[in-house]
Amino acid sequence: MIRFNNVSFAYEGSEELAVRNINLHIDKGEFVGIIGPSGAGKSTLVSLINGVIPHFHRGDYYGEVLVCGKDTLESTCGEISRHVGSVFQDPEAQMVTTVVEDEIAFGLENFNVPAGEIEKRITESLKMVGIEHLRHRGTAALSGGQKQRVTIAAAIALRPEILVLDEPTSELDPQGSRQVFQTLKRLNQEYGMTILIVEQKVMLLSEFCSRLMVMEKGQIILDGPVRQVLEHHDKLLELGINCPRVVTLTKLLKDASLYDGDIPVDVDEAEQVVRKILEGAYDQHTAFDLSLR
Amino acid sequence: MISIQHLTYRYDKKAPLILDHINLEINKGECVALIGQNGSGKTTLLKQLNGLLKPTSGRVTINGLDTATTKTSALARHIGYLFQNPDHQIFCNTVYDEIRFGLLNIQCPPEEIHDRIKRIAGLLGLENKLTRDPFTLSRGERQRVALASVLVLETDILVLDEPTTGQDYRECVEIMEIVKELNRKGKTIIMVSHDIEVVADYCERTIILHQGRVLEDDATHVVLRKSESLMLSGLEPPQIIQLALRFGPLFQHVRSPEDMAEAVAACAVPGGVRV
Amino acid sequence: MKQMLEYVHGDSVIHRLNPLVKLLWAFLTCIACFISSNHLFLLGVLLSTVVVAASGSVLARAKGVYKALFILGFLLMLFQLLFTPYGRVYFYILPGVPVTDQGLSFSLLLMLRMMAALSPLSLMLMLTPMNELLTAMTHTLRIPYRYAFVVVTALRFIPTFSREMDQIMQAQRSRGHETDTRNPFKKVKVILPMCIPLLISSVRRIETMAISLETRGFNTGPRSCRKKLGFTRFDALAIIIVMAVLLLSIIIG
Repeated sequence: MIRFNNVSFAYEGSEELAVRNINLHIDKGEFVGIIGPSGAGKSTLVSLINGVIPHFHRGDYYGEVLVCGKDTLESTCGEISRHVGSVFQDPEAQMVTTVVEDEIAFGLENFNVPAGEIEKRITESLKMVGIEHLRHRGTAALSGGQKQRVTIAAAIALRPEILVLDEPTSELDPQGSRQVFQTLKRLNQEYGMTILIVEQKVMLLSEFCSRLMVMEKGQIILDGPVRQVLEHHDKLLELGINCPRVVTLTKLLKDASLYDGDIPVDVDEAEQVVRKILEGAYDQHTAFDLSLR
Repeated sequence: MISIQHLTYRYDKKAPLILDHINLEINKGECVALIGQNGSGKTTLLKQLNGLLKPTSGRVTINGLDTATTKTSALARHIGYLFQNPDHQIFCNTVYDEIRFGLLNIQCPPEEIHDRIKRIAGLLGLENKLTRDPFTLSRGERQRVALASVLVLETDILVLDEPTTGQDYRECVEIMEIVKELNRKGKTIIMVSHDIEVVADYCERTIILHQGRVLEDDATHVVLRKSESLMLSGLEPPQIIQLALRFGPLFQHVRSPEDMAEAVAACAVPGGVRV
Repeated sequence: MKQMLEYVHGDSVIHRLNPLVKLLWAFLTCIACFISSNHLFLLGVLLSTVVVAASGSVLARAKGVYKALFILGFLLMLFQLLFTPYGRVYFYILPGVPVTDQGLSFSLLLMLRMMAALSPLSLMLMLTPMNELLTAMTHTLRIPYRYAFVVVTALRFIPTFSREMDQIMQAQRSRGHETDTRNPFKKVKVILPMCIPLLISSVRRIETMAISLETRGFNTGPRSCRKKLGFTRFDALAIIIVMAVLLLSIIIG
């Protein structure tokens, strides 16, 4: 679906490479989270996929990026947008109209989709995102989480196979952030959409993504299934990347030789880990009641 | 230090109440987190503290000054306010000028200016950036410049509106360590944050605001165990507290992963502590 | 400022009018107000805009517009009043500065004209979804889409920028900067530097917007249009009323 062959890029006017020798393969239906310190090249990576590089930002470009089999250098940004939907950080700057349904129609109109078909697609994408009730609302009065879900709906109305998101929750409160991730999970699981999200909230990434990539200084330094990447707890902290606290706990339990199984990615799994340890210990101590809850 | 009595606020007569009978006392040296959903009135409450907004009814006093009758520019000597977006604050050509700007406003004696700027730049690790144009710096550095330009006024009270938003984890920790250090030296800190882990790690007292009212106000470790109040505000307890809560009273003193690991170890040793 | 140009979503008769009719209303009313020099006529037009605002249920917001226009108009009126020396002198406000009947009448006219002519523009923007305005401009008025889009988007961003300016001013006040001076010259001096952060954040925002447009196929070729603009009895009625007002302004003069 997405393939990077030895890709490097330096923005115009800058000597330094923003990304260096990236080789990457993302399959259909993956839900990939990208994390890393600021300036690590995360946004650059996303821009390489949706064609913003090289079609909007120029600079020195090496290697090739293939999206759905096509070289992004040879397609226009408009053509790529039919395969890759994009969502950015600031919802305010992405909204071009004043009414939700108009916002979703905007991209479709740009591609000359006939009016009847547009109606169908608006209904479809609102339903996919789960915000049918917002259809006739004005955009100015929406909450941040609602606005971001409208921009997601607007992006998927073009029926892209891939959705890329660059820190879409950084201006949202925890509830809004969770809503965005739940929406993405739904698009991924029910509609098979390939999703790539840059995000600082490691807890949400661990809970929702299937694959995690860690970037630093323009390179991907860790890449794999979430659990596997979280095993590198110490390395992540060294890089200045936060770890979910349940992972820190598990690490401590492992160090104390109390546990040696898989890393839990959320509280539910951590609960199982702790119960297992306690049950193991109290097999001999029948007095302890573990059905506390 | 900060006293808020029966504070209500609305934009105009017909608008709904944004702050609804708030009563709070904040003492010198406290580090207080203010949490709640967007729209719960957090920022509005912060803006009441330095007179950017004036009470519709009730009274807010800062070091004995009534905010209703004191100009914001006069309150600036008592209360430093860091805005959420550093770019709303920065407008000078160099970091040095930017930090100096506030000092000129409060008519700081000229002979002190240079020393104060140097001192604050040192504290925030900006010594080598003083001649740089702030807009060429990274977002994290700009946040530190904005913080420096507020800190240089040497107010006893510091108000921070989401100081860690848009920062990566390392920058977040850097900022919060500085804030904590200032708190240790006796500064009163009031901070709005969406990051429950930051609140858990750095603040002693937590206030939950919900629909313009104070829903909870207690020691942070107490408030962060109130799942229902947090949920009402679209928040959840930090992961470790969530985990601890699932075991009833067994882990009721747990606050951090370290506590939890210790407690689990204690229970796991055959014949260990039975709670 | 921020509330004067921002669209307020709703489903009133006014909202449902053809955007062209609303545009026509705003412009012809403006013209009519400049043609006529009749106090009563202008007052009537002003009241009619209040009726429009009320039926679009934006009266609360329109109040701000009227207030701002009133203040502006009042200043204009004072100026005019003090510099019209002819006519019957009522009294001297300062030695050598008379207040005359003609001065009073003319300055009042100026204020009414200002309020009656400009409020429809603001109301039109409050009551017309941006998208419809765009469609009207491109499909009916044949303005190239790119230009129409720029104009409409600029209008849409005014409230955003205005909110941002508020934040910036507040941030500076928090640092002890006195922005609340009453002296207008001082005020300009105080506000001018604040435009720098606004400019920078606007540039950032506009860049994001440009990228977002790019990734949504903006300007890739021929464009379709979802909504056909309808033309109902109400539209016809509205046009007749607007024309009548214009005619009346010519007749009364």
